[in-house]
Amino acid sequence: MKKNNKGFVLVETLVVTVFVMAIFSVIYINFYPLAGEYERREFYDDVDSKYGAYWMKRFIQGAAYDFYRSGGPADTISSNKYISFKCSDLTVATEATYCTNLWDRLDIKQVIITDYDMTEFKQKLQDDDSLANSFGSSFTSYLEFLPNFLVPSLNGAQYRVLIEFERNMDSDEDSDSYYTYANMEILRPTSGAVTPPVSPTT
Amino acid sequence: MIKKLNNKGMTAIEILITFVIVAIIVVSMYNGISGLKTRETVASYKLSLVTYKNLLTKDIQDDLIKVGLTAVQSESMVELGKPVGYRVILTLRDGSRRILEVRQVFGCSAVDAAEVDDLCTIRGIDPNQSDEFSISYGPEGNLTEYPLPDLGHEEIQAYDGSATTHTIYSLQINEVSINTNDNIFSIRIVLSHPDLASKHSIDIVSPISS
Repeated sequence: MKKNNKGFVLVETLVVTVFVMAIFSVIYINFYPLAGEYERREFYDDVDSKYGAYWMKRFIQGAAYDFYRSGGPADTISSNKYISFKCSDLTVATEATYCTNLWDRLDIKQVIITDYDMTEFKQKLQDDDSLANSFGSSFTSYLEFLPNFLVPSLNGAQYRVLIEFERNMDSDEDSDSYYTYANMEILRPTSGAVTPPVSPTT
Repeated sequence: MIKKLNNKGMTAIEILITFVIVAIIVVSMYNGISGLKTRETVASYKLSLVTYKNLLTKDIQDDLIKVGLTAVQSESMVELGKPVGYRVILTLRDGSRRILEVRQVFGCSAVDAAEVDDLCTIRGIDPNQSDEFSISYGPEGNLTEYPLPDLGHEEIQAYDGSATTHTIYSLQINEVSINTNDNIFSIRIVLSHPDLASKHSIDIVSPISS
């Protein structure tokens, strides 16, 4: 029986080469963004942001933040799924001033409070494009990255604070800023003890 | 019966094209792999730096948060008439004191005698001075030194012909800023490394409660 001694012709080899290169290109294009995603996560819940979030948590858990008044933060979170926190919301002037100073020193850009379980908030974020626009794409990416926190808090926390920090390493104000993020659970029992004031003069 | 052998070979043009293709693939792979190697090195530097920063920040913040900060005093450290860094004395609510010392001595980084004047002598740096960067923290009289991770260094030969060398580290304490305005203590220790730009710093911020 006569053997098939014909090998591949050059054109066939080239076609296969191009085909294999195309496959590698597709794989590269799909996997390369994952490396960028991983690098971006080094700015999520880093140690500086966590300690910064701790001090904002102290203000939010304090008596100067009237959480359960009618139409207040608790009601807004219940209806709107989140509330933006500002130092001016604090009812004690010294705490508000101290909070503003600390806010600046910690390079905080925005603070929001949601339920501890973020399922409804994240659903709203997905449904409402304008919400994502108001938070900014980078903060939205962080919010989407977070889990829903379906398992109740071991500490009995009911809410969650999420903070965006705008850092600038160089004293030159024109240099690029970068953003870091942190979240912390918030304990606001409807009655009982709240965290002592942060400011030294209250 | 004589079996006919396959005597057909590749033509010169086919071999040439094959070599060109193989060469292109090897060159593109070399660039890719060398880029990955650089990224791996930078990632390992980052990891060392972040681990160092986390350890030091946690030790300091543990005291400031759990005990509470009531007063801060900062001063320059001077040795033989030259500034060598900063000392911060933190008084805690229980009356104890913690000391944070940042040693920042720049060595002479001139690589040849011609550069010594510009880079060292004019700035008051001894030509044989090594870099000295370290941070120490702890209770008064019992400081723990937190040596900066060695992310590369260079041994520079003395210019006077002697066999001595001095060391210049890639990771340096670039800037230290301390602020106690508005009853808020903040310290930023900026660490710089040529491969990491300067986006790494140790930042401690804490209210000063009376």
